[in-house]
Amino acid sequence: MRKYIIKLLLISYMMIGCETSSRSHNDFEIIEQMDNEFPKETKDSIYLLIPSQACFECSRNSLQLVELFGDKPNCSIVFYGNTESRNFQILFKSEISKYSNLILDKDNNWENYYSDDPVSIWVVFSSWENRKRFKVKLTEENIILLEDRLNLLSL
Amino acid sequence: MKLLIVDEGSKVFQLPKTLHLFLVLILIFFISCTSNMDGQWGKLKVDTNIALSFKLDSLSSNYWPVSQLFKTEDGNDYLIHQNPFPTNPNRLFFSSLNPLKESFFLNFDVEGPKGVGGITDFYFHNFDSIFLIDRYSYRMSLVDSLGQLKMVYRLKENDSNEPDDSSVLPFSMDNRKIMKTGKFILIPVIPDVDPYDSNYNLRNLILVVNIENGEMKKKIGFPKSYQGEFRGDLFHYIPSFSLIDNKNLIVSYPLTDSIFRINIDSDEIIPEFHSKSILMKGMTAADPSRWDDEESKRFQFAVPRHTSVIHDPYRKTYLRVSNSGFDDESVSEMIKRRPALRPSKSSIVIHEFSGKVIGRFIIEGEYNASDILVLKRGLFIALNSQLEDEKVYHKIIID
Repeated sequence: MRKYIIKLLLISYMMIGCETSSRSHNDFEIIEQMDNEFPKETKDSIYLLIPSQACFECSRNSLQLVELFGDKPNCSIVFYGNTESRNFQILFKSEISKYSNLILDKDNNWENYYSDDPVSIWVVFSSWENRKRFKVKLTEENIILLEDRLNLLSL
Repeated sequence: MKLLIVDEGSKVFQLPKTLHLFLVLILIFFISCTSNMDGQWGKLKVDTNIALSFKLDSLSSNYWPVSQLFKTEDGNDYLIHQNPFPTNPNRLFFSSLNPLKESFFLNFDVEGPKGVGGITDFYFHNFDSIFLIDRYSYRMSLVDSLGQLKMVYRLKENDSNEPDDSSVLPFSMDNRKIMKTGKFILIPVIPDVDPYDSNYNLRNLILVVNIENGEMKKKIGFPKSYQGEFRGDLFHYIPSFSLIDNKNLIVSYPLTDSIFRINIDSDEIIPEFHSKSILMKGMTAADPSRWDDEESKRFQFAVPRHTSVIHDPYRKTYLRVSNSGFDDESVSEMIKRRPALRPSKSSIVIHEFSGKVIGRFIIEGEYNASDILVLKRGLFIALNSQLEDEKVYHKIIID
């Protein structure tokens, strides 16, 4: 499954220069963060922010992420942008009824977390004290890392 | 005959012969310049009263990056498309060009005994032979309209689904559709690894698959002018092509004015004629030493390119379509992931098969020059409509 996602990412980068992947960065990379380092002691939950409109490959990535994380405890998937659009409804309508952790950001509550790059997938680590935002590249390593982090949270 | 000039006092002067000749030449020069600039390029005319309008099924996207015209045995025309995102089941939508005929769609399983994977590319031969490609699994399935699997073709030389130096990825678009000639399927592909670099010097832009035995051959490379040069992003590399007979393709490369013919058997690239666009003035070379994320996006959005060559067998013409790229302000916005401030422009040059120019036209942002239908009754261009539930084409008028 993970290898499949990686392959999808390669073509998505070629299509629209998506920030969700890159041929030039194969390792897990924090593009932007509010603190100096990855939040090792996150205690609360993780949010994946996914754009409602994307190219074919990114849409496939999003579907795969929903499959991987849609039912994970302590994880929520937030779709931002125009979730009323025809394409979004066709693509995700059945998923929304299938998975418990999907949220539509109809009131733009999450806008501050994606507004400077509204076509990328973002990860928000939420703790009791504050919300720390990280933009991650969806490589095999960081998907594993996210899974590990979620497993830790569920302990 | 002598040129006479009459002054106010009605006194007559005779100009010297050399000066006479000089003035005539200057006059001819200005007339020809004026004709080139104003007479030959015009705004594309459309007849908005002659339209094709498709009401969209609730399951169909309004964005069709790949479509195919198909005529049924009883003479009805359909425009076939798939959604530009994955669905389960896969669907091919058949939009009838005749408003009295029903549109419909076909379903194809993703998994299970009739599973074809996630369709990314297709070629519809007839209701018994439909070729469906899952590019990421390097798999092409031959199915019928009920979704029954008849044959599965492996599109990679080994069993791994990881990209490698010799593998290619199927990649069709409206300007580079999957084609069939005899027992061969021609699949537009891109090099699988390092597509911006050395692999473009190989002959690996079309995968020819023998549908009888599954044998594959990679074909079609770049003309000499492309080789050894860094040409930027994917869309300034990959060519557009159309099959013009059983053996020959007409080919347009994004950064070369020449139109080429390529014989599929010999794989020889033969220049056919030149086709220049008034929009290609801002063409600049890519700089590999500055090829970071921002520069590559800027190049992709800003630098003009020839986008396609379209074969029109009904009027015996070729259409060369080019795009201006976006202006600087729009590019700056787009790099920041915001919408362009102004649409880009496109041009169409219409050539006879011999290369002779019939017309040169500019297209403003109202129409999508990447979406032109070639029908017996004329050429139709897609309207860049804001309507989500309808897709509309208008007929192009060529005087």
